[in-house]
Amino acid sequence: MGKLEFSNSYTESTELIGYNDDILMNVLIRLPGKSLMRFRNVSKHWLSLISSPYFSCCLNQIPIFPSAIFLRVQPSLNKLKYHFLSLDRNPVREPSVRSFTFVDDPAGIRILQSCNGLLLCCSNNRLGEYNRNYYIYNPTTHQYTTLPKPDNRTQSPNTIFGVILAFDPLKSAHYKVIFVRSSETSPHLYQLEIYSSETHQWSFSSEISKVNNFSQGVYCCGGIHWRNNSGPFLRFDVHQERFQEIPMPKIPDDWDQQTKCRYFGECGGRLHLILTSCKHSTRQFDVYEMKNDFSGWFVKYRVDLNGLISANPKMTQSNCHASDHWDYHAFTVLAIVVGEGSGQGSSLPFMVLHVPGKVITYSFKDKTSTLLHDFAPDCTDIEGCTTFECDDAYPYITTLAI
Amino acid sequence: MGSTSTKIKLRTSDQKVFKVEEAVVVQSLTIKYFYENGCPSSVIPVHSVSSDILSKILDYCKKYVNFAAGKEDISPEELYEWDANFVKVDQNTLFNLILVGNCLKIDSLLDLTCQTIVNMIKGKRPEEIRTTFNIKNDYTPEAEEAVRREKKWAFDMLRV
Repeated sequence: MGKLEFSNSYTESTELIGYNDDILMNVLIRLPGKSLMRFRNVSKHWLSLISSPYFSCCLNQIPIFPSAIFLRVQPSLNKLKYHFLSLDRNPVREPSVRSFTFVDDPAGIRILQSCNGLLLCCSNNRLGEYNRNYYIYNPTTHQYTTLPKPDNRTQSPNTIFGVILAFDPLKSAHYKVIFVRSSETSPHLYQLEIYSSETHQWSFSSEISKVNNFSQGVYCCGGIHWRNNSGPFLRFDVHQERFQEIPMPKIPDDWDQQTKCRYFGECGGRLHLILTSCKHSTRQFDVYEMKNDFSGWFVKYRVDLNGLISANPKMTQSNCHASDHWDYHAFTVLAIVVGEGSGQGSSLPFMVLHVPGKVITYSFKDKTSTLLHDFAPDCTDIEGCTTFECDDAYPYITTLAI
Repeated sequence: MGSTSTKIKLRTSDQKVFKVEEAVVVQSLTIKYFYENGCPSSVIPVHSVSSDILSKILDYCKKYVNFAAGKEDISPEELYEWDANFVKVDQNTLFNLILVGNCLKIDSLLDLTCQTIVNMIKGKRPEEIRTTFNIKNDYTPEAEEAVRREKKWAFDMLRV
């Protein structure tokens, strides 16, 4: 039996780390995307490590969490712009507000969806599908792909009611894009048309009735989920191309038609839903999570905003009296971030909330909030109103896939 | 662990012999393999690990073995705090903990120390990284600029 030989001396330990690929990989996969992009400049060796396919594989083995949020600024002129708000608990710095310019699209670029690190974008023109391009864009690597047009699109006029990206780097480096479009066989149906990045082919799939809100689907656990304001949600398993209904959470009878969806989104493989009623106070509400077998929902977090509301008087309109039946408070849920973090992970899980004038995080566990960004002095928010809606927010997740 | 209090002997680079409980020392997959495939009664030489680094690493292993066995009367949060204090060491010691953790294959220690490095370097500039790890810049100024420019937009966007 030999000896266990490894590090030689103190003086060499520094260099041993800097050139030990095992250890470097272990460190690099934990870094946020912005650091990775910067550290490509350290040396040719570091560049080759960060660019290697092996590294992408390693990176995709670790759970997926957003590290920032793109927040759409309502356009004053034509070009859409986005705030980039970091979710790090580092001191708040100026966010950069800018347009996407990865491709020269005369109409500008709009984000439609963020899915596990890739953004589904399209040309921001309003005049039908004819000149509209769809892009799959990775903001970490700055790589993009323009989706080819389906061959049959020129023959008959058809309208696109929703476009969803299905991408899960933990399962595959390929993605699919699902278009919900008007059906050629019946005016009462929609038709699904699917593009696969693996085959570069378009194919037709099922026809479905027009009951759900197909403009905003959410991809989670291999399926796309469309919500419905009154009836069951619909899940479409992308691999098996099969539909399944998911019942709505039980809501009180007197909510009737006044139910408002405040959030419907995914994080770390979990689907979350927040419903409130326009007739009732929004001081308290529940966050639902979808059950693992997609059979329904359960209450994951109970939220009580009373503390937050007293600390942020602008959430309440001052001409609104406590005696009024109307107990309305302005806030928008931009994201829900769950999972086990390492390092600063103790603040998980949390919500990213927009209240008049600012963006904050709100911890479900200890009900504390942290300022992420203060829009003052350019703030246009007035008391009791919010500028951003929940569909203005798109999580930024590091992935080196494609 | 209870009844099995078999001790394993380890000899460090400065010729000190440590007698350690089996349950503690087999946290290291390397030593576990060495122990199971060697002669159990002999002293295992952990050559080139100094006694001060080894005793620190054994402290760490002991804490975790005891915690898992319910012998430590602390909460997971307190253990988390203990971890944070454990890695409050000078850079040289931290690097040695990583190197030894890597060679002895103690995964949880490696996780902890690598995450510490991440927190230490994540906001830094490439030049600072080179100094930290004593890495030679092998880019020509032109090549370095090209790498930077290639991802200029992403770079600007993410520099928040």
